[in-house]
Amino acid sequence: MTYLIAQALVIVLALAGLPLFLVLGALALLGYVSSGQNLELFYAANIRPVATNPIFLAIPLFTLAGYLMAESGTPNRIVRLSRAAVGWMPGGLAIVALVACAVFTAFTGASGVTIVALGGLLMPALLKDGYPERFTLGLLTTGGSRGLLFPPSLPLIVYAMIAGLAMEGASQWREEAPSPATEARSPAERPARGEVEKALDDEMDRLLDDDGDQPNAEDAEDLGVDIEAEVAAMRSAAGAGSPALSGDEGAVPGPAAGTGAVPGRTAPTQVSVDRLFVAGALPGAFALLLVALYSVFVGVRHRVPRAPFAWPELGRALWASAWEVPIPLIIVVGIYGGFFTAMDAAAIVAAYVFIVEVLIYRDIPPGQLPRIFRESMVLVGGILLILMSALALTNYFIDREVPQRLFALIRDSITSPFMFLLILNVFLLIVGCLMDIFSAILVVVPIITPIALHYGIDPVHLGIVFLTNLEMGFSTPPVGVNLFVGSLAFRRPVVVLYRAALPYLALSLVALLAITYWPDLSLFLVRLTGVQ
Amino acid sequence: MARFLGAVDRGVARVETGALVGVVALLLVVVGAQVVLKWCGAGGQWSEMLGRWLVLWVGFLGGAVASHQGRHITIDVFSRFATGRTRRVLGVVINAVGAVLSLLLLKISWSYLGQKVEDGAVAFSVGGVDIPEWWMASVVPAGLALMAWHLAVQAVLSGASGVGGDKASGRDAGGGE
Repeated sequence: MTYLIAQALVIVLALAGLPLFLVLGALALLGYVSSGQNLELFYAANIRPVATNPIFLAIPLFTLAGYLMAESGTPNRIVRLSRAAVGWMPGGLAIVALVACAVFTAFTGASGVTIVALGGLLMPALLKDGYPERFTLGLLTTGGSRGLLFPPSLPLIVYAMIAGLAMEGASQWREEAPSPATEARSPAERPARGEVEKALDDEMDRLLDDDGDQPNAEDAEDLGVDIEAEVAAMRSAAGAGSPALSGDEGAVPGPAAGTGAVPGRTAPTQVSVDRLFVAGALPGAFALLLVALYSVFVGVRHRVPRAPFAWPELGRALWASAWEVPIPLIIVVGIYGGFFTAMDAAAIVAAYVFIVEVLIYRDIPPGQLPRIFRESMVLVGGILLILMSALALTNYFIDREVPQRLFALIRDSITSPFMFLLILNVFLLIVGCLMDIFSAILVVVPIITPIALHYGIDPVHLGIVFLTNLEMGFSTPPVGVNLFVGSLAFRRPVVVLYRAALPYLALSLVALLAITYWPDLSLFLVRLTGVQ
Repeated sequence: MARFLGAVDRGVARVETGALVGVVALLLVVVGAQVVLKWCGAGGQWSEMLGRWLVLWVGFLGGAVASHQGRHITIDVFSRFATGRTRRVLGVVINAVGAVLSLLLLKISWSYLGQKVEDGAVAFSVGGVDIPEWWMASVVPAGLALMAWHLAVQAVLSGASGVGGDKASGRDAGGGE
């Protein structure tokens, strides 16, 4: 009871503005103390992965690359190049703004840098060309989060880490740091585990035919669930696994668990940064296409004059940004082509961008470097700290079987994956309005991912749905953070931006529904490239 | 008193910012060298491990600077609507609780570090010389101590003038703007 009150108090403090890394850390700490676990294990679960898992290196390196580009002449050169390439189209400059924002957000995360770095540059140009002010404000404000689905977006990396841990953490935690609770679950002597065990029994009853035969694919089709994955997860949850189903595989339905899956769905894939980078490409392009079509419509309707296409200008613009054009190519060709991992790409891009912007273009005087290092690493420090706390909290959730308990509560009322996804969409829209993207991923993903697996939803697809939802939340009134940054950057009342963002939110909603209910849009490229 | 505290706080922040910038520069050199070495087929094991441990340093030093600037990521729903006195009280409470929690985490990390000293755990080896894990992990208690200090100072300053309260309440996940 005392612990419950303490946890409630921490949540109230969180809403009052206590730094999130302390909130998550305190919740995990209270959890460990209440279950009588060793606090040094808490530290180990918290800190050690950062120093031993190479994936964490990608966070400071990509962020630094993004900040260096934002501070250099890159925004100018990107705009000039894309204007020379597509400025002749109806709605050309708006499409330029769209693409430039997407590229920039992919590099800097939805940190507001895009709006500040590109907004000031593009706003006067768009207005001068004759685009309506409301259209322009909405385009640039919502552009602050538009490239989140493209590599090397930081939220994609963070999602991959947390979802991967949520799927695998249970087994890892049990191996590395056996808790009193898990130690008690020896194969010979397993105490009844109340709700979860009962849930397992119910589940087995549900999966067996009336005449008591074994679960089969037909049953799965009737129930709309992945039998093996579900039984394995439930068994693992109750600690009653047979040798074939217990342990590591139990908590994480791997590719082999696909037999009897929901029709039209494939076996869940493992989450990795590389896979998410590949999966985000088509959905991201689809969402951009919708806004591009809207821009063309506005361009034609308002008779915005078009710039004539000129090869010489395209050549000059290309020459001016000759050193920067390869940067997205390093990532796209490198990762999609399977030449190197996201971590290698991060190291190469950071080193390359530093050399190009500081030594070749000399846009950034060396005296400015300490300020840029500090600015970018304050963001990185904040993210890494909450990641560490979130890892500990995720381990606690898994250890206490929180997702399984939640699933046991909701599975009678939410029976199909489609219904689950619809409710998830609404829930995440609300979360996306209230929290920033990292908080949302760190708090919600550890609980939702294991439940989504029960509904046969691919975790990679789920990640794309998550980020599309949160991307939309960024621009959703009343508290979407883009709206505040835009209000500051463009010196307009935030209420004006609420109205300006509405048409874009409608388009985002269309994209969100397509991405949510058409899993192949996200998974097609993953299967095609076979990236691990 | 408040003025003196503020001056000391800024001095501490200047030192930790210097350390942060140095670590980032070192990280860039290490990963740059690693890329070149890997390309030549001679990637050193230790440089890769050093790069990973430096991320921990970036995290805790960056976190310390974020504490000084009131730029930690927060959920923060109440203070958006709070004004004046309420805001100041929130600033004091939140920063004070933050400082206490940081000290608690510091205590845990300190005892873990002590255990690593006893164990003689090795982070990585450079040319046959073992680098103890506690050297590399020492940034954790150090960073937490700095965070506790900054938050405590802000709690005092919030109470005295309300400045810290404003700093602590911004939903400033961005950092770049």
